[in-house]
Amino acid sequence: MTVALECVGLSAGYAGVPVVRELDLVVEEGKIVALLGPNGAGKTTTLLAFSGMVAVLEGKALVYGEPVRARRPHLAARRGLAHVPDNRALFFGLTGHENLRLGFRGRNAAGAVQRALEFFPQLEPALGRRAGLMSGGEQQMLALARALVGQPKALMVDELSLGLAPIIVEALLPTIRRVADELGTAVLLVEQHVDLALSVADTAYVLNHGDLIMSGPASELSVRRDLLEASYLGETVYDHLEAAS
Amino acid sequence: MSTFLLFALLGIGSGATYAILTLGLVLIYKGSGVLNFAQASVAMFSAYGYLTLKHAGLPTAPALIATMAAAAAGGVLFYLLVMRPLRTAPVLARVVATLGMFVALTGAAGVIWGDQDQIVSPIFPTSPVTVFGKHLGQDRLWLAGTAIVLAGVLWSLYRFTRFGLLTRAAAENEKGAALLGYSPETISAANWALGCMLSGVAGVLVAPLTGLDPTRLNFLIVPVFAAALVGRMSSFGVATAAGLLIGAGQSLITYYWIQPGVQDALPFLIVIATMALTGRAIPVRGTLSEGRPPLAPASRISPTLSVLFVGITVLLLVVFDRSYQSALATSMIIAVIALSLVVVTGYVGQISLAQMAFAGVGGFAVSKLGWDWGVPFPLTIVLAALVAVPIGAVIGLPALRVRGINLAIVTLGAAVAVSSMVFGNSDWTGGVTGSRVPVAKLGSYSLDSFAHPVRFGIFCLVVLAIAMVLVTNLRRGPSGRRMLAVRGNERAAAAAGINVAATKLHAFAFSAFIAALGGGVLAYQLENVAFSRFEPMQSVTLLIVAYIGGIAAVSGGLVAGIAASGGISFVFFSGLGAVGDWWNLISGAALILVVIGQPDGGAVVMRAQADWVKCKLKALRATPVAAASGP
Repeated sequence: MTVALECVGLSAGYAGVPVVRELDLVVEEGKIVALLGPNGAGKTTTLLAFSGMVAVLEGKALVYGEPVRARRPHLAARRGLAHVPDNRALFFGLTGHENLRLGFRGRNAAGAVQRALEFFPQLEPALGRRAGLMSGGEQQMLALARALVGQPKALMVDELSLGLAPIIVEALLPTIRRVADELGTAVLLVEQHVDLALSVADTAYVLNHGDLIMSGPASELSVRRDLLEASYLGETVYDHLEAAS
Repeated sequence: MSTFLLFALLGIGSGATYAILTLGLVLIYKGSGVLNFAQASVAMFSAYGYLTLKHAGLPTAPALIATMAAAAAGGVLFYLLVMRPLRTAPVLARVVATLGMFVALTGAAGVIWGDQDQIVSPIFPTSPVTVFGKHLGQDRLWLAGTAIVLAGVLWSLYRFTRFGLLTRAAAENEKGAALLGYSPETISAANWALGCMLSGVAGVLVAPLTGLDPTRLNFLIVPVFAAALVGRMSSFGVATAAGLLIGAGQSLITYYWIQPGVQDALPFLIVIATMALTGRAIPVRGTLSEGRPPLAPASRISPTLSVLFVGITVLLLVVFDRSYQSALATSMIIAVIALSLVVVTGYVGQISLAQMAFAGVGGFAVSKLGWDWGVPFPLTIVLAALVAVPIGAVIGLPALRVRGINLAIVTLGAAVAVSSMVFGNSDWTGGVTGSRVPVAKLGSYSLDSFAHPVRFGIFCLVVLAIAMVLVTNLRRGPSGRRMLAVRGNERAAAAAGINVAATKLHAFAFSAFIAALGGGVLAYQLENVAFSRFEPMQSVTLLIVAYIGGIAAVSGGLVAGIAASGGISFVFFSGLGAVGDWWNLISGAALILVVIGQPDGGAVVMRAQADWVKCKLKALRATPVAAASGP
């Protein structure tokens, strides 16, 4: 398996103060990695470091083996990394179609748009409307579809479930699983709904206060509720689950 | 009827240049979210460049193309060097940066090409054609045609091309564009290039109609703003139509209205009407400014510093020669007027470009009261300042519904309107020769600024001290806290029970009072009030020196006074050579550096350094004690 995203001893943060400390993380192609943890754990900062929107203080954030350049997020995107931030970064003044068209950086977007829409057929009727007038679920689908239009090799999704009805989240997460399986996209998923995230992910990492608390196969984490709860509550969990099991 | 049409068509010539300038302005606004106050100054500078190339013997077409290319390159440079570092700065800083370019270009043009009026030969044929039985230079029709064609080209560029789509997208959400792999910087730079290029074209086209000098074209920015606002800063078609109509309307006003200056008020009225119809009482989500506003220190009045300040000023007044005495007085007066800006712009965050108009109200009121009606001396200044209070409140009214850059437009428009309608009206203000002001006398004790410069200087010092105490108290009291709350976040301030409208009006009225106080003293210093002292350009340069000094600090007002044109440092540097011509260029450039590097202003930075020195001194003094207490 090809490693798409990797960070080695990564410390990243704001104004020189690290929010994530010495994080090691690997996302392979075709796999979904869930990044879990309570508020302020450093999940979003990790994604921002991969995109180059937050300065890497120490260690490395690698996209296909190459370090990202700070403050040049468009370069990371051109290397095949799609990032759907928690506010979705849609262009509200543009229609759904126009948003999708901008997702593709080449000449002819039609084919790519068609392929992306195969994952979100329910989005099609809404595409003529301006993105600002869409419902929350439609906006999230549009954001994901727009990311897929760019045919990324790696996809990062921040807080997929933010502001969405649970029923929509339950429909969207399997779609992301399909993206990973069918397109071979590497997915790094930040999620607050632990059970839902573990149900689709291959691997999970749990952060708290910027430190990696535990990591391991999603199937094993989902049966060790006690460990998960302890890590969320800030207790020391002796070691990575892989070592423990 | 046909005369009506003739005048309307005559005005379409300048209307067309408004339209082209507006297109460039809207383009830059769409592309980078910056309202470029220097749009017309770029046109002025380009027209000079074009003229120079023509004089060098270049034919029209290559000269025009070279001018456009240079304007585009200049736009890209300005974006990369100035606006890009300010991307996340508050609106005030970005407005002030473009004002810096405005003043710097004006100054540079003065230095390079001098102040004389230049004649530029038109590009389009001027031979008359017959329209509705009247003869009309055909260049007007060519100009209008050019504007309409350009609008059409831009409209289709933004409607149908990927670049246009991308610009609209990035204007709304830079981060979103970057995450999709587009560089927002490249998009903005391209739009700056296009916008400045259009400005260059407009300059070359308008200069033959108006004549060319370093300042005149700059204020075309007011009708241009009006046209852009009517087009809601986004529609090329509507903005072009509005530009053409404003030109036609102005021409009609000059035909039907004998009194000069009224046509300059038209764009202002349009601005006000548009703002009133589209403005909002509380900003909508997402329009709150990002970035930290300049520091507003709440310092106490320190007795030692006060004594030092008064002592040094009096000492300087006594030892200085005449030119320095008058420069020091000017510095103190400008410091008073700058303090008025500290209140309204520094504390409440409302960008006002009408402060010199308030000062002018004070000056002319002093003349009216003192010379025409014989009101005795100190009373004139107080009454004049009170006269300005309701005027300040009225000009502050738009601030209840508009804010940020839009307010800067409104106040600039107001300043232009007041300047050309009121100050320029010779019946009221004596025209170019100005109005007389009696000699300042307390009983028989003369404070004549020429005969007794030391006495007059001390009088200025007293007024400055009063203004400083007033502003310091304001900052430290509950009104000051309310003002800072409104500056920080109007919605939050309203939610905390602060009457946002009353706070803004209070600030405007108070600042008009202080400005008119300064204007009144200025009138006594000159013993003659000429409207040229209170022109809109003076308001712009005042904002600039106040920002350099520290827009939100009382001490910043003092630095502004020292740095102002005609003040001490000005006279000092003038002694070293022909600095006067360079002053605008230098202050514009200095301003841009301050905005990027030290947004809190010179005074606050100096204060921080003084504190640092004090700290070090304390540490030095403490060390021997610690050593002595050891074994």
